[in-house]
Amino acid sequence: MSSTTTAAKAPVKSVLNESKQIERAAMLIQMGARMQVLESETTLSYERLIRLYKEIAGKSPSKGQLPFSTDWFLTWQENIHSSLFLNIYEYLSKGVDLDSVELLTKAYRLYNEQVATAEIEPLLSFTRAWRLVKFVDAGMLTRTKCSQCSGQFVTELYENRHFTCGLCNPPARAGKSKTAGALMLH
Amino acid sequence: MTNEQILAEIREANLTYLMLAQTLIRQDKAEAVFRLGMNEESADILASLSAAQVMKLASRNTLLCSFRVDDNLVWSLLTNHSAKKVGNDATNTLHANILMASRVSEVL
Repeated sequence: MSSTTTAAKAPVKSVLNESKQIERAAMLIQMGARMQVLESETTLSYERLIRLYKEIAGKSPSKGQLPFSTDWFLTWQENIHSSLFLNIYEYLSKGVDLDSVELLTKAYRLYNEQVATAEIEPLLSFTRAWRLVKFVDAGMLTRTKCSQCSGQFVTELYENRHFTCGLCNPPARAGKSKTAGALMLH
Repeated sequence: MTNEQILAEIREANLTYLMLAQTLIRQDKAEAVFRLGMNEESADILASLSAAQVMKLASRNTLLCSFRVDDNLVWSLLTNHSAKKVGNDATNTLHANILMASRVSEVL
C-alpha cells in the first residue's frame, strides 16, 4: 500500500516506482486478475495496463463489469471456498505485516494449494477473491462463527447467534453437482 | 527403544523441525507463519539463529514443536472418523482447513 500512496503524492515520476508497479501488475495478470483489479491495485494508466495484459496473457482482457452481488459468496459450495480463502487472508493479515496486494496474492496461493490437496477445483478466482475482500472492507459481508463447529464463515451482517455453517448443516440440495471437481456430499 | 535412542530421536526431530522452519521462513515469511502457526516475532528469531544455536536448541529431552490439532472435531475430520455422516474426504478436509485457519490466536 505504501508504494501506491507515495506514488499518488509524488509530483516527480519515479522510474523505480514504475518498474515496481509493472512488476506488481504482471504478477496480478499471471494470477488471473481482471482489469478492474489492476486499475485498483496499481498506479499504471489504463492504456499501459491493456498493453501489459496483452503481452502477458496473449489476449485482450475480458470486457464488462464485474459481478456486483454478494449472493455468489453465500451459496453453499461457493461459501465454503470463500470462507477458506477469507480465513487464510485474515490469518495472514493478523499474523504478518504485508501490503494489501501481497496479502491478497499470498492468501490466494495458499488457498489454491489447500484446495488442490483436497482434489477440488479452485472455484474462487483471483478476481472473486479480491472482490470478496472489498465486500468485507466495505462492510457488506462479514465472518460469523458457526454455533456448532466454531469455524468462521462468510455471511451477511447480523447473522443470528444460532448460525450453523453449510458444512455442519448442509442445505437439502447441496452437494449434488455432477461437474468435475465440484464439491459433493457422500 | 532405549532411553538413549529416544533422546537421539527427539534431538533429530527437533533438528529437522528447526531446519525446515528456517528454510520456510527465509523463503517466504508470510507463508511460513501460516504453515508453522507461529507469530512473526518468533519467525524472525528462528530465522536469525546460527547453525550452532540451532544445534544447541535441538539438543533437549523435549520436543520443540507442539501439536496443532487440539480439538475433537478437527481431529475427527482429519482422520475421517466423523460421528456425523455428512461429508466425504474433500468436504472434511476443507472443513478442517477452515477451522484451523480460523485460529488467529496462534499468530497473535
